[in-house]
Amino acid sequence: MKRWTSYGLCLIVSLSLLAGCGLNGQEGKETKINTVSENKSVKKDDKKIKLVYWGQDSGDTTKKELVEQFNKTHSNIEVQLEEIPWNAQHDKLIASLAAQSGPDIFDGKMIWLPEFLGLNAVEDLTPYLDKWQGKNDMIKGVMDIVTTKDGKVYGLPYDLVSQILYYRKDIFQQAGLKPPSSYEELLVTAKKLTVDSNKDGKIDQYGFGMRGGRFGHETWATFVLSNMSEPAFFDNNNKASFTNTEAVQANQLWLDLYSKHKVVPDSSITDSFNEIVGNLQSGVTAMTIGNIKMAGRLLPILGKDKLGAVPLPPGKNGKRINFVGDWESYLNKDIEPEKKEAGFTFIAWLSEKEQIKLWSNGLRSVPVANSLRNDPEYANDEFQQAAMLSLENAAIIPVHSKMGEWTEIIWPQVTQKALLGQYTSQQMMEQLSKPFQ
Amino acid sequence: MRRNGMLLWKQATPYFLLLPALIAMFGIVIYPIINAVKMSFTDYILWKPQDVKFIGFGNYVQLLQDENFLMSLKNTGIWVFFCLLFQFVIGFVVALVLNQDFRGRALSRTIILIPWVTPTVLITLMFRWMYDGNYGVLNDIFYKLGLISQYKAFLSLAETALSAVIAVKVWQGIPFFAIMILAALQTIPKEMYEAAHVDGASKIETFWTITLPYVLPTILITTLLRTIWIANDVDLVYMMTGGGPGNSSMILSVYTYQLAQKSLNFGMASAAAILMTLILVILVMVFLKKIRQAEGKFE
Amino acid sequence: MMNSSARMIRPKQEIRVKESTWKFNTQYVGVVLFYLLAFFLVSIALFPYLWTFITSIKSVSELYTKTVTYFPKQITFENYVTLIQTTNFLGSMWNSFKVATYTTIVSLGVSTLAAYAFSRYNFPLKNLLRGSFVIIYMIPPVLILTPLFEIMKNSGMIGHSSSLVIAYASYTVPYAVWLLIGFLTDIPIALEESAMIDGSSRAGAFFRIILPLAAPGLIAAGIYCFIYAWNEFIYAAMFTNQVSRTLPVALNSFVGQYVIQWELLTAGGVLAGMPVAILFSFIQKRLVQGMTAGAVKG
Repeated sequence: MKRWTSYGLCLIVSLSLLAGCGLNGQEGKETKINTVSENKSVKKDDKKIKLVYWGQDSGDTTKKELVEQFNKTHSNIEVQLEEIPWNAQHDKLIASLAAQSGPDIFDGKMIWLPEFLGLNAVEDLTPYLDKWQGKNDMIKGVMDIVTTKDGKVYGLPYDLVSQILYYRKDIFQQAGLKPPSSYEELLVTAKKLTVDSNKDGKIDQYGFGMRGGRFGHETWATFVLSNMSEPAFFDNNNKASFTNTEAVQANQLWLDLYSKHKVVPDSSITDSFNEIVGNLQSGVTAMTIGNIKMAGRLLPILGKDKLGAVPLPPGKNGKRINFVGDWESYLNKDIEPEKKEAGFTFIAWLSEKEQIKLWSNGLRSVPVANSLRNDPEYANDEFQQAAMLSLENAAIIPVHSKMGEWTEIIWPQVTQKALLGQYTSQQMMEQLSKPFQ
Repeated sequence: MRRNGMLLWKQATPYFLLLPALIAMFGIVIYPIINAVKMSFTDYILWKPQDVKFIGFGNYVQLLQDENFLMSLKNTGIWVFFCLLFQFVIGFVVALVLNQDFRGRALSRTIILIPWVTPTVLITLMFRWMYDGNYGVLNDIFYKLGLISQYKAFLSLAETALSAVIAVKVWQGIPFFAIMILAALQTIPKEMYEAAHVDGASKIETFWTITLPYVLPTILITTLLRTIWIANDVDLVYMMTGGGPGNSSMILSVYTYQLAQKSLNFGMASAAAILMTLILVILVMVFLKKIRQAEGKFE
Repeated sequence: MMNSSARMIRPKQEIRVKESTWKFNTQYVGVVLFYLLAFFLVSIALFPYLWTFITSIKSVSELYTKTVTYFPKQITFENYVTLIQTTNFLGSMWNSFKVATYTTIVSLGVSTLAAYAFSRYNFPLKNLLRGSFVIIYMIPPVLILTPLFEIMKNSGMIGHSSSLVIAYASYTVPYAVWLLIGFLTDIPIALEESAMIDGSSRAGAFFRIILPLAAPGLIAAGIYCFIYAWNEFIYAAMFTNQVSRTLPVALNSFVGQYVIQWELLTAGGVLAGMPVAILFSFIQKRLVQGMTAGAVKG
């Protein structure tokens, strides 16, 4: 018994010492980072301006390489990158901005802007823009998207996605079909492709991949707005306009894919990005609407023989409706002027041609730099081509202060209830427009 | 004089012993709790810090009228009850098995622990994938065993979503109960079994007359704290179904999480959390009474 | 509260009668059934982990296929190499280990004292204080998160592992206290008193008698504290940075909005469970050595 106790005590003491040493060592390392975010004064003897940057996790080393390259080419600025996991990004960003301990520069989704503005946490970039050459190279419309109603720009876009229509070339070829060029055709084709391909008595191939899970509103909005002759998310009074008869009918068409025509898998109701991708990869679905990043995921596995894409069919009004938008870089309002200048240098640099080229590689994004559009790498790429074509005349879903809550909670909940048959199309649309009354 | 001092010292001893634990707990949570109670009576939205009004019981009234809240209340009951029931029963069986002497016992004990040590993010993604209605391995197994006539998208059906998540939580929580009960089993003096054996009591009899009464206090305490733990669990349900489809697997903790972190409606979220705490307090009161009764049996 | 001899079994004579031939058969069947049951339970616990492992040695193109492949066509351990070489996964694991160890030590130390007070002393406010430990435990973490962030920020602890230890302790202490009260109450006061009569101090008796006897409880509570700290994500994501990142955060960084790096995630998941499992395999013997410390348990 005595021996046990002494062993136990020894173990505890040694472990705590070990842990203590470890913790201390680490704190030493961390103080570096902390002084930057908390001790806001930049020392005069240290000429380098240090900036903390919470970046979008790129899933590979691209972001790290970009930051390293910037630090190499800008001797007076040092950007310290921290990649935040997607699952925690929004919550962590909001909590730290609210506690005034946010990073100096950060990536954020466009729909989060109203929250940032409410917290008074983002710097107005408009005055800086005049001095920035790269602004003129931004593709048409992109700057309009990020400009708020009072004419201000808060974030610079570097990662832009637009929706395209993906299809499995091998399945279409076998069935002797062509990718649809209108939404009516889409339904007809989807019906033809919903089959029992191995003849075991159950449907194992569906014509279309539908997304009822989180962030499925992007494809939903594309589909519904395309089927309206006057597509608009909000009317002139900034109220939701999707309770009018036409919108309700268009929404019914979308719901029918699941409940009436059954051309989508049963799991559609909760499928989100990964399931949609998985379904197309395995051949469970033959077609789906998704953004450019989907090609980045699937192409290395399926190859160009099996995976194809075309621009979205034009909507009722003849224009291609599209949900555009994704990531921008923002500047913290709560830092001093020198840092802001340096910070803007960095985020502007990120949105310039060479860096955009690196970022858009591997079909991660549509290049936002105009001068890249004729670059053979993009001009000859079927997916980038389709995405850029879809971008022309793109209508966008406006940024609204309720948008964050709407996308995360209301849309999935209401839509899934409608797909389960608990709501009619009319009720669904009423519920969806409630937050915008 | 000296005797008085000693007496005082003696009386103060338990408080001294308790002090570190009280600091560790209250030091951290007392401010957030007071803050939460305060917030629940306001319309505090994080990104609208300028206009916060006192609205009395407004949040509470609104919550009690919200169908999603009521649904999640019902689901929370189902969630807690079935998670606990299965975790407990299976955990008890596992503990009894692991308490026996058999080949591979040490290895089995280690393997049994695995569900508990696997990070939730991996569990959710793996199970989402195994449940998948199109190429999920569970569908394949169930189909081959003849349990289902066609593939089912378990997480997409209103009837099965909650049960599917409960199954995962049960799987994850069995080791917890198994370990706690296994530890409690060790407090039974071996002589008790020997005496019973000499007296010729059957194994089943000794279970009811010795094993169960002895581990009952531990079971009650474990169950009590587990109830709270399961009721407060967010990660698993949020990452597996997000409360869907619709609100068919929505539980209160996820509802509160969404209100706080996605709507940033701290007033409402606080009210929801406080309502849940109140419900739990009532449950716990009943429980504590049972524990005292169980303890009383031994006195 | 003592129960050492309170519940003796009243013998029942009838049960003794058993036929010897029957005995052999039932025993044999019983053993087989027992092993079947043990095997069943173990395989249920193991299956998802095994599936994770199989996935981790599959190539990406084999992940989503219409027909499920149970054994990979091509076995590759490259995912593990990539994980260790290109990411700081081992560093995160080490961070988790430190945080978990510290949390366990702090919680156990603090809780043992508290549980001892509850089980050995009678004092005013005892029940109220005991109850308060449960009430604290009930507050949803979501609600504490944002104010706690402010507290941590004001005390300059964001990014330090110590912030996690403090946050975790507020969750592990109530549980450990309650669990240990049960175990300490079960230890007869007589044992302690006889040690004190033999000249040992109260503290001496505590260390020499109480702690070894409460070993199963201490270990069970310790396992709880350790695993809680090992797997916790929400606080960890908030309070750590790139350097102090713990394991669940590192695993989460393989899950993007658009990209799930299955190969790294599954490889990481397989590795994540291992240290705890190995650690447990060493202490599991202690867990089942309680009141009859020293004696071999059947």
